[in-house]
Amino acid sequence: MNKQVISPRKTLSLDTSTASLVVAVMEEGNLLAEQKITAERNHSVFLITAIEEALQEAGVNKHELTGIATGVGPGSYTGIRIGVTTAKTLAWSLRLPVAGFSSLAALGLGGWAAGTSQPLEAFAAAATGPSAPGTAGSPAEWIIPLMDARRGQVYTALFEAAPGELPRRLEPDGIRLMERWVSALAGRLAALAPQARPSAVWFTGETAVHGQAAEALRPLLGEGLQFMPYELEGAAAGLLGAERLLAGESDELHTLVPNYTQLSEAEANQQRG
Amino acid sequence: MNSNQLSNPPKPGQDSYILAIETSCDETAVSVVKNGRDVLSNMIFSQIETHKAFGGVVPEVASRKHVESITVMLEEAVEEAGIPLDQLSAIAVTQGPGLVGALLVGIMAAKSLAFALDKPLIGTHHIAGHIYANRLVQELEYPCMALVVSGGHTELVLMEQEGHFHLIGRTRDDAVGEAYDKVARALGFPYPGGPYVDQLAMQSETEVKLPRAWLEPDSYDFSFSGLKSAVLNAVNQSKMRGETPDQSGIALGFQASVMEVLVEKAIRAVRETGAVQLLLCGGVAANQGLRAALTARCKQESIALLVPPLKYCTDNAAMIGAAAHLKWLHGEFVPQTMKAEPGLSLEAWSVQS
Repeated sequence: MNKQVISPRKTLSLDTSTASLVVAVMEEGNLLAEQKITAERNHSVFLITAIEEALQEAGVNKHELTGIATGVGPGSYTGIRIGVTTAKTLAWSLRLPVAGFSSLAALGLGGWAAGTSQPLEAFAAAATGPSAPGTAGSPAEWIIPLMDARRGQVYTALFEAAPGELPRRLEPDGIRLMERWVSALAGRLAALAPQARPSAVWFTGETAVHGQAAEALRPLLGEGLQFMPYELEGAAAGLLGAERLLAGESDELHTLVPNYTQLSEAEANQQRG
Repeated sequence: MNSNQLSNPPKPGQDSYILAIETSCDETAVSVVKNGRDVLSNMIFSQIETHKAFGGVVPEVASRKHVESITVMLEEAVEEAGIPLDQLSAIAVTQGPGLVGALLVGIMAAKSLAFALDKPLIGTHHIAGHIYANRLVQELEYPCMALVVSGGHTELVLMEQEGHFHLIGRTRDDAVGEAYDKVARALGFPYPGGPYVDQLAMQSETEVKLPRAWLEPDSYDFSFSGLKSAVLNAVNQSKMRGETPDQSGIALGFQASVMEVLVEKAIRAVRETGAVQLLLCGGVAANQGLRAALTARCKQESIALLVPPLKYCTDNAAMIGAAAHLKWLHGEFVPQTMKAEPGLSLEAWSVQS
C-alpha cells in the first residue's frame, strides 16, 4: 500500500470531560481553529455546533478530516460519555480512525504551557515528529493536573517534561485523595537525589480547591512549587489528539470507552457484597 | 444554524429511510425503518442481565453500557438493512422521556450521524414510539385510543388524527410495570418480576380478593399504589398468622384488579370518544393476562384491538422510526442544539401542522 501522504493531515479533537467544552481543528501539529464553551455545563447541546463552527472557521470540510480524537476522561461521567460517543459515531460514519487521549494529560499540557509562558504553537513539532528531546540537559519539570472529584478527592496524574517537550507520563490517571496524593509525591521527591529532582513542580487545573493541600510540598520545593489555575483549551486537546493520530495510532472504534477510573457506585457496592 | 437545512427535503411519494436510535432506559437499540412501516432492521442490545444483579435498572450502569454498545448496534442495523448511509432520509432518536444520562448517549450518536451525513434530525417521543409500534403491523384508523402500559408509564391517549396526541388518563402514582415488579418482589421473585406474577396468576385456582382503584367516576386516571399496599398486607398477614401466603392467589387477585381497571377504563374511553380502534402498547402489553382479558372484552364489544408483536412491545428502535416518520412527513426537524428531555410532553410532541 502506498502510504505517501500528499496533503497535510487534518484532525479534529474534542474534550467534554470538564466544565469547558473544547474543540480543535488541526493541520499536522498546527491549530487551525478552536472552540471553547464554558457558559453552560450542558455539553450535549453545543458540541456539534461547536465542531461545525470550528471546521468552518478553519475552512476545513469534514470530509477532509483524516482522524478524530477525543478526551476519554477522567472527569464528569456524563461529560466523557458525550465526547466519546460523539467521537466514535463521527469516526464510524465518516470512516475515520478514532483516538482517545487522557483529558488529564491535555489539562496538564495546557496548564503547564500557560504557567511557563510557552505558547501551545511551540509544541507543533513535538506533536508531529518522533518526540524530539527538549533543550539538551535542561532538567525536567513535574506536571500534576487536578480535577476536583469531591469529598477531598481529585482526578490526577503525574507527568514530566522539559520546555518544548510534550509531557511524559510518570503516574497513571486515577482518582486519589488529595492529601494522600501529596504525601506520595513528597515521598517520591524525597527519594530523589537533590540534583535529580524536578526544577519545578506545577499543579494545574482546579488548583483553587486543592492548592492548599499541595502546600505541604513547600519545604521540599520552596520556589519550585508552582500553581497555575487552568481551564482546558482546544489547542491542548488538539495537540494530544494530533500526536496520536499523526503517529498512526488509533483505538478500536467499537471498544473505545471513557476512562471513568472507578466503578459506578452500584458496582462498587456489589463488589463489597 | 445550518444543520437544520435539508440536502434532500421530503417529496410526496418518495420512499423514506429513517435510522432510529433508542437508549432511554436499558436497551441500546438501532433500527432502519422504511416509510414508517417496513422494518429493515431492528437491533437491540438488552442490558437486563446486568441490571438483574442490582434488582433494578441503575442509571449510571445503563449509561455506561450504552456507550459500549452504541456503534456496534449502528453498524449491525445498517448492515442488516442494506441501505447505504447516504441514502438515509433522516436520523431519529428518543429525546424523552427516560433516564437523562442514558438518553444522552443515543442523542449524541444521532446528532453526530446527522452532522456527518448531512441528514435532518428528528427528536422523538418514547411513548409516541410505543403507540406507533402498532403501525409496524397494521394501518391505524382515526380517531383511535391507545392504552400505554410499561415499566414507567400507564396512560390512555386519544388520537383524533395522525400524529395528534391527547392524554386523557395517566397513573397518579406507580406505573403498571412498576407495580408488577414491586408485587413480584413482595412474593419473593427476582427483578424483573412481572412475567413471574403473570405466570403464577394464570396457574392459580384461587383468588385473593383485592381492591380496585376506580378514582372519580368520570376519571381515566389510574392508581396502583393502594393495590400494591393491599398485596403487601395480604402477604404480611399470612406470615403473622404463621401461614405461607397464598402466592398464586395473591398474584391472581393482583392481576385481576389491574386487568379489570385497565380494561374497563380503556373500553369506556373508546366508547365515550368514538374511537374506532384500541391500541395496546408498551412493555406490559407482553403480559398474557392483559392480552387475553382485553382481547375477550373487545371481541364482546366489537372493538378493533391492535396489539403489536412482543418484539415491538418492549423498548426498541423500530417504533421510534415509526413515530419519527410522522415528523418526517411534516418536515418537523430539530436543530443540533436539541436537549435530552427526561420529562418530554407527549401532547406537545404532536405534529404542528
